[in-house]
Amino acid sequence: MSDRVEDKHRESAAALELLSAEKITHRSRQAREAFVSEGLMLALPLAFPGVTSPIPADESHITAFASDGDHTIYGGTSVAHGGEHAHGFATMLHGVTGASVDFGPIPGATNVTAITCLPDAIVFAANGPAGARLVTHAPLPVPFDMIQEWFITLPGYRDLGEPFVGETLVDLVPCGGDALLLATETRLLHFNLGSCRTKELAACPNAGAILKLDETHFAGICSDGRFWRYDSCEGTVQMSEPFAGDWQSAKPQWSESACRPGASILLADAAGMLYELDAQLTPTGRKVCAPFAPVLTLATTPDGRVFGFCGEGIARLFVCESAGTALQCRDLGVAVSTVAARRYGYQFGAALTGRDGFLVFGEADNLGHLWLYFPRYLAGSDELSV
Amino acid sequence: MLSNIQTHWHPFDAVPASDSCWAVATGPDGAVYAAACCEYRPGGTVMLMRFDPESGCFVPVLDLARAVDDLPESGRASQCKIHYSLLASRREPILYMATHVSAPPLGRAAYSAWTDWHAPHAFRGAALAAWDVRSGETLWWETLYPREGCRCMCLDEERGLIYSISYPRDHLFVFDLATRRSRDLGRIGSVNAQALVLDSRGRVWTTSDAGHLVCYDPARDRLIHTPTRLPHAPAPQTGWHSVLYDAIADPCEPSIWAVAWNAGPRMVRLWLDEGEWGRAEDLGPLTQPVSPAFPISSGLDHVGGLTFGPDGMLYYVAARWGEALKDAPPLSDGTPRDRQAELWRWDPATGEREPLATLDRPEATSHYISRGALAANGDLFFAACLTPAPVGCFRISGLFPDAPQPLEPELRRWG
Repeated sequence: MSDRVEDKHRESAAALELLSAEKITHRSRQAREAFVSEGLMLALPLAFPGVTSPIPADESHITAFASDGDHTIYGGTSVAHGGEHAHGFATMLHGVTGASVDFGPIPGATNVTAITCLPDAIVFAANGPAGARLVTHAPLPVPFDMIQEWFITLPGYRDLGEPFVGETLVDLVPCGGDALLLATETRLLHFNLGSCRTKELAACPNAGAILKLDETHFAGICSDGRFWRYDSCEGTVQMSEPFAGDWQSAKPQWSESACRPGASILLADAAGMLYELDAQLTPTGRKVCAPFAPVLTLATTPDGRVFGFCGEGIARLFVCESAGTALQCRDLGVAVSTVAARRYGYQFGAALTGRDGFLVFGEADNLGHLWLYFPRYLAGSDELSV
Repeated sequence: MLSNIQTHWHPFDAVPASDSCWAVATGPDGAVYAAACCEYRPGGTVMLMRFDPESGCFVPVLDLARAVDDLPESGRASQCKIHYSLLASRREPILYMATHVSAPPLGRAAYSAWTDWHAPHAFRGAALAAWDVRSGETLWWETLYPREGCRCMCLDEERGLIYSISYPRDHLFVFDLATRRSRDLGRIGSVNAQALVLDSRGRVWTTSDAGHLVCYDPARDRLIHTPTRLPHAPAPQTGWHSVLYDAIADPCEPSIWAVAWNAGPRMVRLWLDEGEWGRAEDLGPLTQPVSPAFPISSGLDHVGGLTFGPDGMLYYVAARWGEALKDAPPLSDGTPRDRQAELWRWDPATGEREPLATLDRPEATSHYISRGALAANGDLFFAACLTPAPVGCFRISGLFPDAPQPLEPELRRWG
């Protein structure tokens, strides 16, 4: 053994000697510090606990969320190794509920990328070997009382129009009237819900997630860095000059803006850089790097803080917030839930802002859980931090 | 207690820093091998040991970190231990072994597989090595998966496959011995089961966090969470954390004997070929009762070392402790006499059991026995996990005076 290694061993032994009397305490502290260090996370199984089985493990990677006016959360899953069908589900958290209801496998679908809630239907962007489809399911009314007795009916899925053969749906949003705006991996489409007819709006490489700017304006970023903007009143799509960043190797992520009209928006590129844009998508010049790349999900609290997960293999929760005139990102640790389910969370594929400002993250892993995050309360100062 | 048996303590004196031993196995040459792990020492590395009957000592035969080209000078978390991942080929003179993560990198006081996942000093990954017991040569090695350690492993030699469970992400992997490629079959849960077992159809089984049997069927290429559950204490446990700890195939019947890694471990007999998803037969608790109001540690309330003798009896080692110590940290030093390991014999035909001996380690506690092995001369070996260094193995002689020599011990297919 070399002298250098011997020296290192001596240093290490000395370090350990200091710790030996408190070895277990030290290991406990180390374990605590690895995991979410601010706020509280709870993981809920995709089941009605004690009543139903969760969605099969390899069919339960949560990849899409939406919520309706009752704050029922609708989710869509994707399959992993061995899994056969994507699923849709509904999760109810408020009132005498506290359960997820599996709508069952979506025939022919292996990947749900987006969901939107219409007054009388939940629409899933469902992709599979035979192409992309729009699939609907009836909304799930609150089933009376999920402690005493409950009444649930599942009418099943219904296809909306013909499949988009050879295409992959990426996102969809209602865009006024009786229409949906669809983004596929190659183009933007206008879909009429009454006639089920589709009209191409623009060719757009990897149009990505759709950002709703207001009731009639929508935007996104192509994989070549150009922003697209769709005006649903005019029926026009405009393209910007390319915006510098890495938009190729991972899906760009937007922070939500709908809950804070006029507020700034964050856009994450594949390298984990978060760019701040104003409500007109003009860069403000502020940017900050997430602790790790890629950024997997982003969600915004009503006070403007943006939380997300980043990193491969074992993702970490982080928060992006203003620090004086700059943006800063803080690494908050690995997801863990010890109240409700006892589970580590490693990969996440969807996020939304829940009622009253807590956040909901969808775990994109085998036996995916729905994770609730209650951020630390900020009362205008850090005085509550104890 | 039988008067004609003797217990012997064999510390790994040649590896004075060894602070845990999780793997002991009979090799294809009939010799007994064990892993001298150094997981508390920063930069510590594991040494494969072989018991030399003539000298009565374990002697080092393989510096695994050197063999897999990952020495502590790398600055990464070191190749410090072999967990339940020491397997003997039944066809070739080969021992397969895989490394696990625990020890801090050289110069650092601590390492967390979660905190340091993205760090430059993260563990390089579990190394799987094939070692020739005759020549002492490492035939080949591969990294099973980056950054993660190998918690446990099993060998399906008929199909040329090695299955393993990674730590900390708890994924099941399959390694093809022909192509030497590893394939991720998906995450199981969070607790991380300590054993994988095989049935007669080549299906591999372990357990979920909730104690359900989880089955991977190569024919379907799918990991299934089954409705079959391992038994657990009726109150207050729910089945959570009832994950497989140690398991041994019955030499006569198509079944597997097992215990869970949970307080109040129970003897379980798994009939995996019955029905679609097998049957778990609850044969009752193996350790002393504790108050359901006290959260006793599975590091104290423990059973391991399941081993069949040539007499067809099942041997295992159960912890026994003084009531005053039940709430003391189980892994700390001190007052070892109140935490002991007791060797038991279970008659599979009648279900009767009897204590045979106390495994008495001088000056230290010995209650946590990980695995057992039967040597060709009929001696039983049990690996003792707990510090102080050096750790080692117990050897029990005189149990089978009438057995024909040499024996041909059944080689374990899982760690």
